[in-house]
Amino acid sequence: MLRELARAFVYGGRPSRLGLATRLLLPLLLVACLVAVEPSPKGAKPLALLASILAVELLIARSAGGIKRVVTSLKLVLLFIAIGLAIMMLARALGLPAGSPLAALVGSIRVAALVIALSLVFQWVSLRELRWILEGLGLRRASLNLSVVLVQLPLTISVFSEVITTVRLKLGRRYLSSFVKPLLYHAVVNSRAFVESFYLYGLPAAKGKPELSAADALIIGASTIGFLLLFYLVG
Amino acid sequence: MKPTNGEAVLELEDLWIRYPGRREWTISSTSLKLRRGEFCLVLGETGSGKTTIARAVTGVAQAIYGCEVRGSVRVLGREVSEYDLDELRRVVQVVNQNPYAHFTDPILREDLLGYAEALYDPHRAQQVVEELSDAFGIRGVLARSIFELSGGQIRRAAIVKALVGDPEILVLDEPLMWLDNAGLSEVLEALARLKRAGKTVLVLEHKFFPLLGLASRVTLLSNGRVRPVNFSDCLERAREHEDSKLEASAIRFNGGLEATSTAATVRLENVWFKYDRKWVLEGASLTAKGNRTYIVYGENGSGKSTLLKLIAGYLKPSKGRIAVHGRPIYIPQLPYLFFTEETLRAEVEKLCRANRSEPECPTRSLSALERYGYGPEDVPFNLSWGQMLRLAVLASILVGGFNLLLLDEPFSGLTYSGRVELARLLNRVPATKVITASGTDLLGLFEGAIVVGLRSGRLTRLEHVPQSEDHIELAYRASKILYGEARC
Repeated sequence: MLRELARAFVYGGRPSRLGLATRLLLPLLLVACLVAVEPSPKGAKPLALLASILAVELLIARSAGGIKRVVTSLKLVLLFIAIGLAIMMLARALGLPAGSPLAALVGSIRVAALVIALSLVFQWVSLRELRWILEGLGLRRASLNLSVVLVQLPLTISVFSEVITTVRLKLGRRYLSSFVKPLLYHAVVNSRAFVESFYLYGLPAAKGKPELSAADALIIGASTIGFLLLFYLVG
Repeated sequence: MKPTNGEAVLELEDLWIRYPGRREWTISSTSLKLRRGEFCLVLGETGSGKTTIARAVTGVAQAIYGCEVRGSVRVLGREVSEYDLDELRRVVQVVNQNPYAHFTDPILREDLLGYAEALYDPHRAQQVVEELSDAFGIRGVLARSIFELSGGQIRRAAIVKALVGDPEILVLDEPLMWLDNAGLSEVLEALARLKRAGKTVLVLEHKFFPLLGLASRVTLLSNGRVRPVNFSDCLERAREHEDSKLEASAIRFNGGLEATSTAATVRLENVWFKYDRKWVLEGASLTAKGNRTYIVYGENGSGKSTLLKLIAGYLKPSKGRIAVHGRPIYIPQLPYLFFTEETLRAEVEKLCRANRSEPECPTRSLSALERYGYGPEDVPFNLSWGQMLRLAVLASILVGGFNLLLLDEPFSGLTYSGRVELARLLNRVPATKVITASGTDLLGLFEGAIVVGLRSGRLTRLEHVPQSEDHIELAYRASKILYGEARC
């Protein structure tokens, strides 16, 4: 599951016919909607907005990385629902104020939709394009750090699973925190290897196309109008 | 002006290299000359300085590791230090041990194009990447994440990346590490292609057997120095050598192993496991018991590590049942992940505490480990790969009292000597051992072992063990002669 979550933030590898602006703006528009509108479990309209945002997200996930990404996104929704309900039940058990199960459900779906919308930026926009944007903003060092983090993430998660398996059997749950040292050691060894790689190959060329095709303009325009309309209706 | 055929393109002359904070020189008074189109194999055991030589050739040793370097490294007649870095990358490239570290974009195509476009215009960059991908058979996987590639594919991808700038010289540091049989064939074919293309190739390896047919020259790196060897003479002597003489000196067994508890039992019944919407195990069944060794043999990605993690209890089967009677311990493929403390003393004390052992446990255990050559102040992370693995096995048995050893591909990073010595130790330990392997070269090292093949999610007992082209016993004897006496 952890590995799948990490993959949700990795470029899907499917070259898109849509321009960079569209692929960047659509997920950000979804984020803006989710932040701006707070869905109430009693109102049908905000729930419809939430459902439509989720549907759009799954469509984009399908386009960016295929059905695998859709399944991962759905798992993410279920995971957040489980976490939300668990927190609510714990709060009730401890006698703390807790909302209704429906409120917890809607709130969890909203958080999941927000995480998915953010992950879509990484799934739909390649790392070279993201670096191009960051470099354009004068954040060259940040763009380099982003590259290394996104490349290291799946590897680190796989090593994490190795270390946890070992430490749990070797020292028991009581000493589970001992996993930190071997993981840190691995990170240091790996980081040196990456530094060598940058020395040997230099910084890869960032790539981005600022042009806006007619299709892009149409999609951006239609999506903006659509979401504004939804805002108005949700009121 | 570029040297013509027969002229030296890479020259190391009286080279000395020392890492910061170290008194001893890793490389001392080493000279080596490579002529254009030559395929030179430099043999050396773990820690002999192979990687340091690779680092010196491109200046990484000084620039990244802050090494003190004396002597001369000349590429195409010019000192490496005189090159502009961009210029140097176009004449010499290195393929490191860890192929994943070559890539700074998770998607292979994006990474290769990113590098190529830094050297050429976008059209030419596309052309270069496509031509090389075709030549090395990775065109079909360009759209994939580097983590989805097999061992052979990722190695070939790293070679392709190194070739994008069309360098005259290619240095490969342990290119055969972590490969299964299929990956090994793929990488050997890629190396043969480099040779046919007339590239000057320097391979630094300890696994020499598969490379003997390719190398035009074999040299030995030992005690920090490179010297030529007459390898055919060495092999001839290895064939004649009596194994019994080697047995006595190969490894010391100093007791203590027999004082452990009885062996464990593992029973897998019709186990199914799904990963990434794909069944990795489909009705796998296995019973392992007694002080026996069970080798699970399968190619990379066949689900061997998953099987061990299921037995370890880290993963839960989708269907079926797993029963473990005993105390399992998991020793990962990267042995340093086993250790959690800075010194062996701290490691033993923690293990004793975690096991709620008797107060004498640390003293008794440290003294037992000392008989195997491990001192209480040894830093586990500083040991060689082979020493780390042996320590992990010994600590599991002698200190932790575990009786089910789950070892994930312990042999892939080891030298011939390391493999034979680990196998001999494992043959001795009183525990049930489940060991995964992706190569067939070590299967003959375990007397009475049960070999189980893992293919298409199913476990099948292999009555006829696949024969390996890599004759490990002979290679072991040859390497003992090479490194021990170095007279051939």
